[in-house]
Parts: sequence; C-alpha cells; structure tokens
Amino acid sequence: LRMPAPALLKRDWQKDHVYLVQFPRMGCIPTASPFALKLETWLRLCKIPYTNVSNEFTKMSEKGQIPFIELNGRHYADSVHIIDVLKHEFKKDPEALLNPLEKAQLIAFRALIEDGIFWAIPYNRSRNTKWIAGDKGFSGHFHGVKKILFEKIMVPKCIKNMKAKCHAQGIGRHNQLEVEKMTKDQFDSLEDFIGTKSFFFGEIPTTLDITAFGHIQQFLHTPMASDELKNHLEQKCPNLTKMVNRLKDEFWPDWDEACSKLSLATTMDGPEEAAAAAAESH
Amino acid sequence: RTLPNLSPWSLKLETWLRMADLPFTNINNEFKKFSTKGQVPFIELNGEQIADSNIIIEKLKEEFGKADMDPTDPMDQALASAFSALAEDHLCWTLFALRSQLGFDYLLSDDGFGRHHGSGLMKSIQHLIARPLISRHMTYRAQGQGMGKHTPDELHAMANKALASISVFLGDKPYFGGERPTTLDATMFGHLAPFVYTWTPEGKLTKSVKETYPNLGKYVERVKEKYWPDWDETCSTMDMNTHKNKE
Repeated sequence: LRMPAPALLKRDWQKDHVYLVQFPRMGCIPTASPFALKLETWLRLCKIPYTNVSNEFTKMSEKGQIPFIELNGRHYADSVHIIDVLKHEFKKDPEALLNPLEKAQLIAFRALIEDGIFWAIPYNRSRNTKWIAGDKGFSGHFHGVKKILFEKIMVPKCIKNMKAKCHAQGIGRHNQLEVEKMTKDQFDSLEDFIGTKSFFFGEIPTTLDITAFGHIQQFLHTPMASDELKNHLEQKCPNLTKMVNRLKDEFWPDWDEACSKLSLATTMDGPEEAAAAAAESH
Repeated sequence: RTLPNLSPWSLKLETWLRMADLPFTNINNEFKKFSTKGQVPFIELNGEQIADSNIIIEKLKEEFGKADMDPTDPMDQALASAFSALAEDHLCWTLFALRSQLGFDYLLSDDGFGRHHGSGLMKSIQHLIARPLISRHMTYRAQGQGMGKHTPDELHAMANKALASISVFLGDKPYFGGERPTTLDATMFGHLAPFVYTWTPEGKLTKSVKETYPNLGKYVERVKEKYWPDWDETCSTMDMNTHKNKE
C-alpha cells in the first residue's frame, strides 16, 4: 500500500521549474549528500531551471530521503528515479549517444559508485562525527541553545542511524583498514576505466561522471576517519581526480561562495545574475 | 530443495572453490554459528577463521596461487569490479527486498528452509517463532541497505535494468571471463542462480532470466552442469558434501 505523497513544500510553484529540496549548505562542501550534489550538478549540466529549497533538516521524501524534487505540482523521490523523470520531462539525455555495451557499463559503474563506494561515506562519518556540528559542517546555521541541541541531540541521532544502516548493509562489520582497502580498489577501478579520457565515455560528461563527482568530492572535501582515501585519490587516481575537479570548475564556480555564505541561492552565473534572475521570477 | 544454498554469497564462494579446484569440506552452521562479523559464509583455513566472501577469495588466491582466477588487463579488472558490484551490491538487494516484502511463505516452505524444521507440530511451532524474527531481520537489512524503501514495481524495474545490462555484457561469451571462468563468474552464478531456481514474485524475474535475457538463464545452466554435477543430489538429500562423492 503506497502512502500518499507528502504535502508540497512549494505551493506557488512555477511551471517546468524544478524545486530541489535538500539539506542546508555546509562549511566545507555545498552538500554532504553525494546524491544531492549529483542531482544539483546534473541540473546545472543539463541547464534545467531549478531553485533550491531547504529541507530545514527535517523534511524528507516519501521514501525518507534527501534529495527530492517537486515539479509541476508533483513530488518525486530517489535521485536515480528523479533523473529518469527529468530526462523525460525536459528531453535531455547526456548518454543518448552511448552504444548498448556502453550503457550497460554505465549501469555497472553506477552500482560500483552508488552501491559500493557510497558506503565508505557513512562508514567513515559514523567514526569521525564531530565536524558535522562544527564550522566545516552546519554550525553556521545555529546559535545559542539550538546549536547545543543540534550538536548533542540531532547529530548523535543521525550517527546512530548511519551506523545501523552500515551494519544492516554489511560494511559496518568490517574494520577501518578493510573498508579503506575495498574503497581504494574501487577507486582504482574507476581510474582504470576513465584511463586517459576526459570523461568515462570520452569527451562529453554523462550522468556517470556526475554520479562520480557527487561521491568523490565527499572524499576530497569532507573529513573521513583518516586521510588515506583522500591521499589515494590524489596520488593514485590522478585522472579521476582531475575529472571531478574539472566538473567542479565548470559547474561550481560558486562552490566557495555557497559554503562561506551557507547559501542555497548561489548560481553558476555569479551573484549579480542570480539576484537579477531572482528579481525577475518574483 | 531447489538450489544448494539460499545465500548467494555462500553459493558464490562454494562455486569459486569448485572453479579454482581447491579441496574443501562444507560444515553446517545449523543456523546459529556465524563468523566474527556475524555472517555466513566464513571459512577456517589452517586453524584461522576468515570472514566475508570477498576477503576469503582474496586470501585463497594468495594462499593457493590462484591469480589466474582473475583477468590481468586493468580494464577487464575494472569491468569485473563494476559488474560484480551490479550483481552483488545492487541486483542481489532487489531480490532480497522483494523476498522481505513478499516472500516469507517461500522461505519457510520445503523449497526453502522448511525441511530443516522437522515435521508436524514441531515444524508449526518453529515457524511461528521463526517467522516474525526472520521478517524483522530481513526488513531491517533491506531498509538499512536502501532497497527496502522501494515498491515491488520499482524493485522489478531496477532488477530488470540490471539483468539487461549484465546480459549485454555477457553477450555470447561462455563465461564472463571469456573462455575460462573467473571470480566474476562465481559471483554472477551465486547471484543469478536464485532468479532461475527459486521463487520470484509471480515468477516474473524468473521469466526475465529465462526468456527476456535468455543468455543469462543458459549461462546459469551451463555453470551448474559443469561445476555442480552433484546439484540434484545435494538438494534432495541435504548432504552438504556430495561433491566428494565423485572423487
């Protein structure tokens, strides 16, 4: 039995405009969710008009997750499904030119990233937790009592949840060295697959590159249990690292601004253009 | 009754041992003995316990000099790693979630674990106790991993997409590794065999591997014929070491 979709957050929605609901910005990375980072970057790649909406740490999709979108009055959950919907609604398909074998490889490497490498993120974060409530994390959003409540109650609850998921999935049962080894091997597979190409399938970025971007940037910018994984990426996976940084330069010129101002309103086009666009749409 | 082991990881590991031609003995965990990581399968080798099927395989490759169980070309290794993840970290969980949502009766039936519970009143009592425990545990795992959040229709769509990709990748090769089986073949067999031989909701996914992507169904049959000649014997007698009967 399907639960009814949650009530819309954005009632006065614009037609054919995506409302992307995600966590507020953090100090060291626009978002600690690899799926939200993937999705927002995908919207930018495909030039689909969107507005960020803060979930205020509490509002989740009908599947209990972030990110989710609202489009033309409908709620869509799960970033992979959302991308399929957007491809259909906006007639955009970064992988349209891939042949059947390449499309099969895309599905496989996507699993390697989102069902494999992904798990090293909550695993590490459930062991190195303090930063989430600090400057690198969300502390800029809170003051006084709320700050203490966030640090002492919300964050530990979130960590406990993460640990349970890691245990249920299986990765939580390994020790740190084992997880680091597995993850390094997976990084190496991505590095071998991209080879000397600019992107995984040649000169044009596909959804797979954006998926890798959303995940790899977490290892490059957010604290893990040790520096092993970041060092491995930078030293042993130069092509992969170059690719995700190329995407960062091209699609996130406002990365630093988004983080320092903790703003969901920055855009690729610079602050003046963003303000003008905002003024236009109201 | 329909396949030697319901755990795809155990089926994978045992198939790997047979493909690598290593001497082994199966030991029944009696549903209660688990590794230090709380799982099966695990092995004991020269007095040491090793847990997690992938860690075990790496260790055995080293100990017994079985590097030829994997491709040497880095691109082939990368593809093997990716398709292994697709089968083991993605496809596997779609079926697991479907079973946790729809498949209890099957698990407790004689085709599943039912025959181990004796018969008559004892069996009914064991099922009464086991059912909610297994249900809760499977739901916990499926929800934690993430697949448990999806509806059966969504799970079917995801499973079919994964099967389609695996089918394209296999093409008309005899094994995923080419002419000879590799570790990826053990993984694929472990995770695809359940679709061929066990219950899937309304048989739809069994139809997928047998009719929509027939090279997968045929692949599973091929590996079974070659590496599990004692399949029917071990399934019907529940003897865990029928592979030794051939020696």
